[in-house]
Formats: sequence, structure tokens, C-alpha cells
Amino acid sequence: MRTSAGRARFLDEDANALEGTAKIFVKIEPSNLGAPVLAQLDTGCPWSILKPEIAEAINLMDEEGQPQSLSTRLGLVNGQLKRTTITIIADDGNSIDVEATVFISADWTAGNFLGYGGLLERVRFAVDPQENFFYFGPSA
Amino acid sequence: MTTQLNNSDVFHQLPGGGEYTRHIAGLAAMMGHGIDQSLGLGSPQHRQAENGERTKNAALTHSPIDLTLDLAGPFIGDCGTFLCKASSPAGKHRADQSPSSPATGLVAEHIEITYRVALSLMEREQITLARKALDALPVGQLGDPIITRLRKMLAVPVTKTSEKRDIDRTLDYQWIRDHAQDYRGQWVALDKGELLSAATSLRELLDHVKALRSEHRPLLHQIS
Repeated sequence: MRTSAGRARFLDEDANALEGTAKIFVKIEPSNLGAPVLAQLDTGCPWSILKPEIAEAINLMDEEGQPQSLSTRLGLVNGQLKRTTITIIADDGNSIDVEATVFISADWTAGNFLGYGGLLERVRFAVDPQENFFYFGPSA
Repeated sequence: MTTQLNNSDVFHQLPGGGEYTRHIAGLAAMMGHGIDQSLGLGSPQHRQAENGERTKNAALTHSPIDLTLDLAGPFIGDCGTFLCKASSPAGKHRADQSPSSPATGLVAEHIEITYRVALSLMEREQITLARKALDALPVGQLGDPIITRLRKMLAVPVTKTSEKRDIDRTLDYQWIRDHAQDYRGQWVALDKGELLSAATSLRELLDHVKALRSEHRPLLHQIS
């Protein structure tokens, strides 16, 4: 069984993270943004989240979505679920395009997140913490 | 009321087709409410004493006649019954409709209930259960606009490989570690460990980056 299509080096700490704990930030390209950005891997997050400025840049803010509220560590956030393509970008091997459901809110002030529902649930992935490699591939 | 939803227990009871009252009872059980509560028939004390399994069993054995008589009351149009936080744009529209026939009204109610159940499950982060609740609708009801939209949002992600590739960003990650303190609140564009541009908004940064015509696409990041 093939597990990985590609791999990419991840950022395991973000100097601006207020709580200062180690996290995994992987490279993604939302839809047609034209450049990679970082998103925190968070399997506990029910949906992936994009910063509103990114959603605006890829013309996702104007699309009609499914109204949804999300309970977060910053409190309850109202927004919408929308469907878009997120590319998990590889340094080696193949990247994968995921037609995913993401949560978008103009009120969201934290970063980008890759959540389980609507995205990671169909991605095989593994982490090499020694080398800071994120291995990933389609689940089927 | 705290109720643990059990995927297999609940959905083995959901019909794929015509057993309408059993479906409604199953949906009510999924919501963690006794059917008596959902239909306004029981006492609060009794409801609080029940756990999810007993509620489900009670719901499934309840008289279909009682269910049908009470469905149009508290079950429909009362989002609070389901602790529903997500808005239901179609809900008001449906509540205002005068069904042309009892059968049409029943189908509309069926769709409305399923929609609200799915929304409530989503609020509880029970995404798989929400998908199953929608999938349990008869095929003829899956084309309803509100159901179609919700099913689209709940569709499992589709993946495919791509030839797109990026460079190793180790040097850019190091830049973030070393310089984040100096660029708080700003968007930065990085390449090979060097700052290409910084701006207060992503739109502004993208404009700068387009003008640069750098060898690689830069890594974009907001220092918060």
C-alpha cells in the first residue's frame, strides 16, 4: 500500500505563537492564491480554517456558503462553510489537490488551520519529527 | 441532557425509504431527545432520567399515530428544540409555505427535520453522523436545494495528485524564527531565507510580489 505521494519540510515552531508550544505548520496553497502559505495541522479542529484575507484573495468571501458557528479557543465564531481546493505542497514527490470544505469567517483573527473534517479525513499523512518532514498522500 | 450518540445503534434504525414515522423517531432519538420531549408529550423530569439508548428505544416503539399528530407542532420551526445554532435560511420559507397536499407537507417536514438534525449534528462536530442523516433521505428528497447545499458542504474531500512543487523552505522558517518579533502584524514574503517584501495587508503584499518577478514563488506568512 502506497502511503505517501510527497513530502515537505514543516515549521515546528512559530516564534509568534503566544503560548510558545511546538506545533506543525505545513505548506498549502489555497485555490489560485499563487503562492504557498502556512497552515497549522490540527486534527482536533472539525473544519479547516482560512484567514479572511486569504479567502478574499481567492474570491471565496463572496460565495454563498453554509452558515455555521465554530467553537474555538477564541470563543464562538460565526462564519460559513465553503468548498474550495487546497493544495498540500510537496518539496519532493507529488503535491495533492484536495477539494475540501473550509470554514471562513470575517471575524477570524488567528491563523490558517488544516482540520480533520472536510480535508484531512481523506489524506494519509505521517510526521518525521527528527527531520521535520511531513509525508502525505491521497487516502484512496 | 447529555447523550452519547452511537453511530451504529442509531443508524441501523434509519430507513432508506418509506418508513417515515420510524425515520422521524430515529432522528429524534439521534438528537438525544426523548420523542415525548420532541413532540411535547412528556414531563421534563422523565426526560432527564433517560439516557440515549432508552430514548431511542422509546422513540422507535412510539405510536405512529401520536407521532403524526404532533409532528407539525413543536418539532417543526422550533430551532431551540434542537439546540440549533446554525441559521436555517430555508426554514422560514418552508414554515410559511402552505403545502398543497398532506403528502407534500409531510415531505417538506421530513426534509426540514432532517436538515435541522444535520445542522445540529454539525454543531456538535458529529460530521459523519450528519452525512448519514442526510444520506438516509429518500432519493427523491435529495434534490431539495437546502439539502443539496448541505450535502455539498458535507461531501467527503476529494484528493488527486498534482505536479505542483515548492522548494525546501528551511531557510524561510529560520527567518520567521529569527525576525518575527520585528514584523508583528505584517504579512511577509520570503524566499531563500530573505525577506522579499513586507506589507500590512495580504492584498498589498501580493501586489508587491507580482512586481518582483522572483525566481520562485515566495512563501507568504502573516506574523501575528
